[in-house]
Amino acid sequence: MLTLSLTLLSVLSGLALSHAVSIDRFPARALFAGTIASAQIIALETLLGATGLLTRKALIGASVLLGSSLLATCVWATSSRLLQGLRRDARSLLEGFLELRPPELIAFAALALPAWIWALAAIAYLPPRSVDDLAHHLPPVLEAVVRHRFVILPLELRPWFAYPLNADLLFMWPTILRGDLRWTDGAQAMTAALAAAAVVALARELGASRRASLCCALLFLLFPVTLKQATSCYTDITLAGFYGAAVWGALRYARQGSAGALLLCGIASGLLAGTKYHFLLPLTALWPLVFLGLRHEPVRSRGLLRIGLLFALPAIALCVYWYLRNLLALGNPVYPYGVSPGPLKIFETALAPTDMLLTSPSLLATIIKQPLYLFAMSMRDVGAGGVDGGMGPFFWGAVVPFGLWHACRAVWRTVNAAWMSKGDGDATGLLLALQLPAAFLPYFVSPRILFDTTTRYMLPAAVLGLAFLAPAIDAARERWRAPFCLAAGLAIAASAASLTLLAGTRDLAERKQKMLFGEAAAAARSGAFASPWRFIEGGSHGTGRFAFGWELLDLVSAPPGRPVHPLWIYATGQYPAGFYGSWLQNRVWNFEEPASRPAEADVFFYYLTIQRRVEDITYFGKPVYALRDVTSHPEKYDLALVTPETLIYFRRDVLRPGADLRERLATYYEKVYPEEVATAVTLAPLPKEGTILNSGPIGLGLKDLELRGKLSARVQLIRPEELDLEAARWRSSGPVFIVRPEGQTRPAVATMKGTTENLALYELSDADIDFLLREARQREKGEPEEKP
Amino acid sequence: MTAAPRERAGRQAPGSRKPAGARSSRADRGEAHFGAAGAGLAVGLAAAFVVWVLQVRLADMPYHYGFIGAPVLTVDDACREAGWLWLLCSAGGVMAGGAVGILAGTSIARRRLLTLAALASTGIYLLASRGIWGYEGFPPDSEGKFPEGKGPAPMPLISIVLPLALAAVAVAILLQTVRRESRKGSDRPGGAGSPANLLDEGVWGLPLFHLCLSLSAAHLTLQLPYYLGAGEEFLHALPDLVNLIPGL
Repeated sequence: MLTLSLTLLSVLSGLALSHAVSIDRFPARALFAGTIASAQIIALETLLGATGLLTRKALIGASVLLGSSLLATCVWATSSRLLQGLRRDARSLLEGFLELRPPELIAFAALALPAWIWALAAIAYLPPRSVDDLAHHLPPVLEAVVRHRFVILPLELRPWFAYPLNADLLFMWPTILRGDLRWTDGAQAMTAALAAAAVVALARELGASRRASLCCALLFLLFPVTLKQATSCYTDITLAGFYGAAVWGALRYARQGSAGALLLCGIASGLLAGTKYHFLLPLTALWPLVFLGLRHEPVRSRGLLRIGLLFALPAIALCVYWYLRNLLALGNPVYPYGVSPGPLKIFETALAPTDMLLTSPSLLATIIKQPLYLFAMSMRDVGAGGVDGGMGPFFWGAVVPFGLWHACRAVWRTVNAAWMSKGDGDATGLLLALQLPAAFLPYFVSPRILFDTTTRYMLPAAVLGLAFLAPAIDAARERWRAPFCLAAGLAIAASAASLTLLAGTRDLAERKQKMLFGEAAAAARSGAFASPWRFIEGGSHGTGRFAFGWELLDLVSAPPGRPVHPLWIYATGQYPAGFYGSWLQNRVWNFEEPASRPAEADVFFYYLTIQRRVEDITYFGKPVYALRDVTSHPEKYDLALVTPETLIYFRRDVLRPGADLRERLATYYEKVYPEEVATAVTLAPLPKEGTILNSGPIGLGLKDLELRGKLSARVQLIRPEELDLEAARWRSSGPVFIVRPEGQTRPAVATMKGTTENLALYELSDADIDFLLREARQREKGEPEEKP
Repeated sequence: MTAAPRERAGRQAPGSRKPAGARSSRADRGEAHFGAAGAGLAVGLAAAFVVWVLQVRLADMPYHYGFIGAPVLTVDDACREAGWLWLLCSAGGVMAGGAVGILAGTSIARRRLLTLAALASTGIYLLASRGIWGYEGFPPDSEGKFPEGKGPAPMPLISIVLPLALAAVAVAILLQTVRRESRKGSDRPGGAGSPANLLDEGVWGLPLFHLCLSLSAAHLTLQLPYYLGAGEEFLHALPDLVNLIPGL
């Protein structure tokens, strides 16, 4: 509720400002309000984060102060006009809904409504789960929340940690205000509305009817990539919204010289430039349109001053922090990229010369060489089903060809007019049309190696392309009514069919994410002892393989209904976001400077990757605790969870008898693995000494017995392939047992009653252990194994 | 009633720029010629789509694949082939349609007929429904073997009959509707300097409309199997959503 109230205050103050600066149409005012609200949030968080004051209280105070003072200023400036204007806005919004009566709008709205309810459910019940959310969008944001200031995380792990964070700071808003991750991935869903408003505002500016403009906005909201990405912490939809705002502002200023539009263009440009380096290209293409507005200024120098104050100043103010920070801290404002025009090297790239991002040709170069590659992009609709792409058939079939045709036609008209010497001197149409190819630039200059993941860069171009299409829709509807109905029917059918991608597809499980939230919602609503991380099994790029590990960390540090016990985690792997926990209760030990962290972490988390190889563990820079350092000291570190991909060790002293964490870990085993614990409880007779080695889930049940003090033998969880080494290690300290199904040839030491079969403990003799070691050596040498 | 008296009376023929018969200069006749060529291009594109949709490989051709890896090249190749085929068919259709249009431009009746055909032939793009029977599954391995030990099923007869019937019905309905509308006459939209103007032009408007439809329908044909393949998961998750709505 607090998040919603403060967001509404920001939007309301933006709306009031739009009236104060005389923005004359509701869609444009909505776009203005959304952009101003985003700018307020981002500016405040940047300011607080840069000064080390980024706390919940400070953010609440600052946003209330800024929002209400802006609102008060607008009330003072507009007196009674504001109230009338706001009333008019409410009426326009209502009219917009009433405008949804035409059949094609009803059909699109009927599809959009359940689709966005789906998205809302996914946001509410699933934690952030997309690969880039966990890998590099969220970690800097979450680290800033827990440390109350911005820090550059280890660049050896991700050079992208030095990226500007403007759009990412929108994810920080619900996170810091609520103190959890529940609505973190909802920020982009809000900016999807901003992007839709940008489509409508631009289309209306181009003379389209409300009906066609709404139709295009709904098409945008139904793109597979919009729907899928709206529930993630990616930033492409947000960028599309900011870009639409910048273009609308530039166009309106070029046409009418409106100061409010120029301000919007400046603010949106700053937000864009502070989010992705790639967008400096389309932003540069926007300048000629901005400078065209100078013709409305009676005095050129005053016009330039106005552009400086309303465009350049807010643009620079909203992005300068990131570039300055990188310049001062890393010596390169656009880290990790280099700036080297021709032979001149201004800033060296931090990427290795062999990095595929540098060696791979750009998509544009590829297409120039192989024009048919375009069909591989469009007909495959690269990324469909995930957050990386899926623009839908009508984007490729209608938006792109029509938009490019429109751009070519504008060029032809201008050239023709100049040739015939009959130009009226208005280059607005041409400059606007050229924005479309410019908006495609971030996509086409990206390396071919990223072909599979960059389709989403086209979303800003889609906003512009749809706006260009809207007047043509009006024309087609009026002129060719029946064929238009058929075309609309096809577009509706395509959108309806593509909705299935929301759930994910079986053949794309590895690369794409699934969004099945029934279990997650049931657990959340019943108050079950569960962490939302359990439900990211369908995460893309194998991120779901972290699920069990992150669940353990979450449930041990913040179990439902119990006080929080923060953990310091020595983390590895490429996806650090999950270590912080659902309530941001934990800290990543190896992200902190040595002076501000304890001497040793509580928990050590090793991710062996999908390949399940120790050699593939990603350490954050130089390993402080390599896995072998931990495994070679079993007296200090105790393995608490082993899955094929993850190993979680606890320091033994934090699990000493009577310790809070010992009790919490036991509770976790009992609640999450009740069947295994029930089986372990039946173990009889209980071995008095020795070590039980186990790599399966039953080991978790036995571990629970040990933690609860019901079993005096040591329970050692192991990786299956290390049985030989572990057995050799533990035989000096007493008998070594393994768990196998009952009924082996040798006598069992103890038995357990399982749910499907009985299990037994068997003691490994010295001969067994020697045999295992010999076998391991032979395996290493590649010799044939002995028969047991 | 024939077309000529109506046009003399100032009614506008579909797809034409000005009320037919309103002008009679040489330039106007040239423009009318080009207008007919535009309608011819549109019909050519529609005819080309028929050829493409019946020729494109759907039964055993994966057009979508999510993993990053070698098999994705198979998918890229398949898309390039499908795109190249579309380009060839469309180029052929455009040339043939353009020629027919220029020839038809000499007579008002023929021009009118061609425009009518161009409008009615938009129904042809319902042939995209043929994608319903396309192959949805893993691409073959490097040896050309499909996973799970079995190859994809061939396209059933209904995959031709039903889309053709659908398209034929749509064309017939459109023909009727367009004829009726053309009798009533239609308003002209668009303002100067707006992209709407593009579709307001007799020469390029219709072909562009067809180009967009043809390209969209081609994409839809290839993507339908993938969308429908995801339907199982979607329907599985849908009850969850229905249960959640009150909670949200």
